[in-house]
Amino acid sequence: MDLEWRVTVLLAALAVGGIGWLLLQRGRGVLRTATVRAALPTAVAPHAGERLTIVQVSSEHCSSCGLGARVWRKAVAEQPGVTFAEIDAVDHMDLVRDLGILTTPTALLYDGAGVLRGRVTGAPTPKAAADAVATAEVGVSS
Amino acid sequence: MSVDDARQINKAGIDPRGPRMGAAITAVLLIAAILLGPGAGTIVLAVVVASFLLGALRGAQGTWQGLVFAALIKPRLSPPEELEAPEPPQFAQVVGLVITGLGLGLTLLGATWALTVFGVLALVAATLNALTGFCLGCEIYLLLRRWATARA
Repeated sequence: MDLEWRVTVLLAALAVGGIGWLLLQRGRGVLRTATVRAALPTAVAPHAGERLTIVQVSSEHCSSCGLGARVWRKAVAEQPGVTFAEIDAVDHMDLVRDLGILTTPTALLYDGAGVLRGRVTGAPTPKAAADAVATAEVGVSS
Repeated sequence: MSVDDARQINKAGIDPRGPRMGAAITAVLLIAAILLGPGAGTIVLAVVVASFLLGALRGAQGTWQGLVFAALIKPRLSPPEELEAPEPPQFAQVVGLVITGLGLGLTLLGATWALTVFGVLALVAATLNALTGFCLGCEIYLLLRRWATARA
């Protein structure tokens, strides 16, 4: 096969990969309102917050999970009644399937009544995490 | 740096810039393999496969790229802001081994298109990893797991 063909395939693949990556990043790191009804997983119930419980679904092979957990812990630290818990996706495959979670980390935000309010896919920035906590809470009171 | 920090480095993680620099070296080798084509390119691809095999067995920090980073680059950088667990990059090394291993095997069996096709697949993943820190394990581990448990 000639060089021209190989160069074309190479450049096309890099372009497709780049565009695919940009599409993958859309909607990452920001709060999306829940579209399915779901209750707080029982395993997390002992750690539930009075106002908001943030549950990050992590996995062993995920390098942004540690970063995400650190950002969330910081975001809830000064917020009374808001708690954070981390669960391993492998132990909660039913939850992963029911909620259609495709990637880790995914943070699930439950209100004080234990009802799913929204989710954040990917590790958020500190500001995005604080915004998500505030927005999810507004949703709770309205 | 306090004693506690030093202990954590030994125990808890690796410098996340190491695997990313390794991915950059791998990307350059893959471009060379693809452009050289079957023959010389096959040999370059074999080097990449051997590197991924090291990484799959020992983690990304145990590859020759990881050793180059530790010996030449890291001493010139400031300490990393955060460490990362070694498992995610090791998982990516396993995925890289499977893709490039398939490409090498098929090429050696006479399917010369495989060098280009599997080469660019690995190249896209390595390039994204080097430039953006794209984490293959984050994206596909759960999908693989869901697929495996759905069939079970």
